[in-house]
Amino acid sequence: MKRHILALGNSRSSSPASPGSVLGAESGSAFAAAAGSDWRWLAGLVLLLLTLSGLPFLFEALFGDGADFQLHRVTLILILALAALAQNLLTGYAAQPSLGNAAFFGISAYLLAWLSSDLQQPYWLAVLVALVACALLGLLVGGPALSVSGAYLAIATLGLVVLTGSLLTLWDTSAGRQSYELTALPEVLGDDRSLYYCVLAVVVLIFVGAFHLLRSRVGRAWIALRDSEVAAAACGVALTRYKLLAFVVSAVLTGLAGVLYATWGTTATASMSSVEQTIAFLTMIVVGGPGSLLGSLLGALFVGLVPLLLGELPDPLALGPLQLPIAMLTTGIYGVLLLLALIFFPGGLSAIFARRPFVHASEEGESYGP
Amino acid sequence: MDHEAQATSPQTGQARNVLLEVRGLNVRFGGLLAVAGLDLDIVEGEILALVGPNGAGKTTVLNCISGFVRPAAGSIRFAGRDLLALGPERRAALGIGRTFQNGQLFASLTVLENLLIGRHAHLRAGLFQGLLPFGPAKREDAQARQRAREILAWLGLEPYANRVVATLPAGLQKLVGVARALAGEPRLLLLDEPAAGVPMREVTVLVEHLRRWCTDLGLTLLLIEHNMHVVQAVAQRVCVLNYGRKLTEGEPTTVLREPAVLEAYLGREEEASPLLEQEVSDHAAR
Repeated sequence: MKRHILALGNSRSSSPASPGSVLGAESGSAFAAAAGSDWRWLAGLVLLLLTLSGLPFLFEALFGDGADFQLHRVTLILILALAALAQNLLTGYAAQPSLGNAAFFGISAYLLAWLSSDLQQPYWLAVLVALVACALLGLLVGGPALSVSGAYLAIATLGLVVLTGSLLTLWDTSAGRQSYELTALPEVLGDDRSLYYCVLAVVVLIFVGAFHLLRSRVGRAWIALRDSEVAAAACGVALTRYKLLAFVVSAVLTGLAGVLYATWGTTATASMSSVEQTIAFLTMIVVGGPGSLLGSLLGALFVGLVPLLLGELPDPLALGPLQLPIAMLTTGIYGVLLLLALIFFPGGLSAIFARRPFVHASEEGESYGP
Repeated sequence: MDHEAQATSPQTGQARNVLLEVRGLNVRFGGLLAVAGLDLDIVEGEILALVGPNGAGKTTVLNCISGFVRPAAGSIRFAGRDLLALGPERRAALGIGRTFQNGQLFASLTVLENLLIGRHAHLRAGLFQGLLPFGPAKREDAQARQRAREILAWLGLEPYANRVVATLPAGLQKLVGVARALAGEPRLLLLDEPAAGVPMREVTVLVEHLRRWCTDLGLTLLLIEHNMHVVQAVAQRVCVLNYGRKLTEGEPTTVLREPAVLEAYLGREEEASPLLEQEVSDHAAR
């Protein structure tokens, strides 16, 4: 009987336990029996963690007095990785092409600045309030936004970003300031090295949580509605509920990235909620790898490095008669990267590492003819 | 009517209860009446085949039952509950499973992961439990994985448990679709053309399978099928649809011989596919 059923598939494959998976590119399958590639991932992960924890000392040896400055730059990349993860959960896993995350990025930063600097509330309370506000706002906006799909969702959420950016600018202008300075930071976050370790701890914690979440019932439901919405519904997945959950989780994570970003730069600016910021988020997941945790890290590294490298150039950059502002150049480079990645690397950087079947080509087994 | 008689006939010495009851179902797509006044009863434990030429509204009926199409009129009751107010995911949780004509598998996931999603309605873990590397979510998942492996073993799919679905050949994918539906432990399983694309020599295996699911799992099956050999071999009752209306209903051997049915299939027009024509005439010849 069993042989017959196998024959039904007409498969030529004799090694059925090939490790494959796609819950994330960073491991074999969540359930892969073949551990061949798993230990390699584990080794890579341990190496990465060791490097990151030892980075301050490494930098001290490399850069001497400039070590803290370099560490400060790496901290930014870690913060961006959180924002990339947030966008990836929503877009790469749950397949909602929302562009609204930059709104939460700015709002949480401004709330933090307002509560801690102006209202003189404790910093940690301000962070908590900012995150809860992002969750509530995400719930409020996500409901109506997710009732439309595809390009309409993208446009509607982009509208949210533009609106938020304008409101924050208006707030700044009416208060007579250029940007919102954070004046009351806890001591532990004022020092470059301890800020780095705090951010690193948060990032590691959140990525580990996300790793487990994506292998849990909730994460599977997100991936299910990415692969086939009808089948997900037929399996009992409440589509609206899970889309909204992804939206809110993404909003809160982006909010966390926002407060960390404001803390990192000791200032909140209206440009955090801008179309340019949205493009940066999008570039991170497209270049890094949609639907991959590793991709979120790689994307953040890539996107974080561009302004750092361009920062070495004079601003504005003189190209013959042209005076190019560096900020504009940065966004332009993101645009080019987006295009190149979409055309040549649809799986992003992480696909190069994982060799997962992002394009669903079947090597073995013919499909039946008519 | 014939089916009502069967519905109440004490075949095994006790009254058999109607699991799914469709009354006066009307579905409209723009100006087209895709399903017109359909009445259908499915008795617990039976295998009912829904047949008819292409465009007769078979898949639409299935979609109404699983909740993807909203009928203009009529009622659908499942185990005494009105279904029309419920969304597809609620109906799945009540015990209505289905497969799709074109698979609709979660192609980027492994076979086992597909089955775990099939069990979604049986699991409880939410966001916060899912974040943890231990606790009730992991225990629940371990049980679900165990159950999924049993189903895979039962279908002979176990060697493929960790294969990404997209890399499997079409015939196996078909079976994975069924396994995913079975993982939800449905009471009623809706199969949309299970034999389509399966080579002739494998059809007998499939037929054995279908029978086994019913007897071993106590499943009720509603299947859409073009292959008349399969219909004749597995179905206890056949309902023939044409232009959204029920043409006739009854035992396969008698129903498939009725002139009206033959005409609907062979047609005076071009709606019947050559394949069907061949099969129906094969069948009539015997």
